Amino acid sequence: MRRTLLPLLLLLAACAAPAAPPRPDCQAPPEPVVPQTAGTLGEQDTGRYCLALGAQLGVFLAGDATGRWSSPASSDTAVLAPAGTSRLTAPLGVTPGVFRAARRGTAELSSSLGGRRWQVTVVTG
Amino acid sequence: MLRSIKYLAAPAAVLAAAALLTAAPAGAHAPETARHAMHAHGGVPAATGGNLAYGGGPVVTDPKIYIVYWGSQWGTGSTITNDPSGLAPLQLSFFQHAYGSGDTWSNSVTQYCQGVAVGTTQCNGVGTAVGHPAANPVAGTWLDSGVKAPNRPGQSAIAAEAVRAAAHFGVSGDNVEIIVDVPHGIVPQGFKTQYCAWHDHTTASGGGDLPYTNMPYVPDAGSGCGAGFVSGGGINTANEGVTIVGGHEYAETVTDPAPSSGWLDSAGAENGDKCAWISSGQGASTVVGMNGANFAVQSLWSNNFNGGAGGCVSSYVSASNQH
Repeated sequence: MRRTLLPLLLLLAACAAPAAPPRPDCQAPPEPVVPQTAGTLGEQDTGRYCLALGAQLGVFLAGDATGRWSSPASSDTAVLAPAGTSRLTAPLGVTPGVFRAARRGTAELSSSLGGRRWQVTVVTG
Repeated sequence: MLRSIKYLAAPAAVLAAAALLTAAPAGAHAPETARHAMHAHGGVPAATGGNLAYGGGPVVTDPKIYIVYWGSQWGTGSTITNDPSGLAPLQLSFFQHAYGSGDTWSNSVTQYCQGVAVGTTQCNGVGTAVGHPAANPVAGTWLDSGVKAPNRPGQSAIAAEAVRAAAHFGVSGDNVEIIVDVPHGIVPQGFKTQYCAWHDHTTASGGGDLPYTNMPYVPDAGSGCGAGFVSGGGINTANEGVTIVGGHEYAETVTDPAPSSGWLDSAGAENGDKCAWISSGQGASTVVGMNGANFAVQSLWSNNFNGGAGGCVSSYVSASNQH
């Protein structure tokens, strides 16, 4: 009897527990183009992107005749830490950045060019 | 082991070779157009991270360069026939001249070392220094015409070709740099828009570490990857990105062959990154003479320049004689 009830009680307890938070609405970033990165973002990308813990994200912002994008910055470096841009020679006028998902959470990546602002949200975990 | 490649010299290649033999004029300056472009793009060095510090990984103590011309698009058999901008002979000549006292451009790398404490910024003769070749460092070239390079190769395909080339040459280890030359017309993923070239490391088929460089056909990118960035010295400005970008990757490979465990600044930049695309002032890209031939290069970061404050230099004889 006890053997029969125990799984049932565990099942009921699980159903009564608060549901796990739903996975945030985010999409995979476009495919990586440089080593040791899991995806690539550019100035045309907007929205929310998922990044697994420990993975790195490459950011390449192409300037235009009006100037060059500022270095992309993370709103929370404990969540999304800058990881440098070694390894590659960026083209003239392209501002690169590489970021690593250091902790579970959400951070904004942003940059500016003149009066324009580029911003995306990165969900790590 | 130096395996030779025959070239069927296209007119452009002949012109490039002739240009290499021309005497150098005084210091080069960025052309107006390039200077304007740099100003428009805010072309400043990424020197915000301070001096380079040792990360505990290997450095290259005895550089040996191996070049593989990847794919039958370069030509058939052992003869290169498809090289409209003369990349192959220019690149080969550049590295063949990068040695000894006649090359002060790449000599600044010798101030960095391994076998010192993590965080070290000045080796001061301690540890084992990054090597500067005493003679021609090119140890082999190979036209791998037995395969066709894919139309849009990614990282794994490029790494696999490096491994294939290392097996062909019978080499591995951190002193080896395999340069994978991607043929004209082939655009690796991200080339032109995200990068001009990059270096990384992988594992050779025998198990050793294998530094390698993804070197796309840089002249295909035009001014975005260096065409026309500097002038003077009789160089062909249309393909000078080959040596500017190639030199950048070489200098980074010897100081950080297993990225990012060698010498980097606090922002993660290597010695080439910090001095890329400088068009005027200290550290501006220029034309340098190397053992009797002239090449366009960018400067390299030197920790012991400017009283130890660091800076970008294009000539390095010693800590007290550099500019």
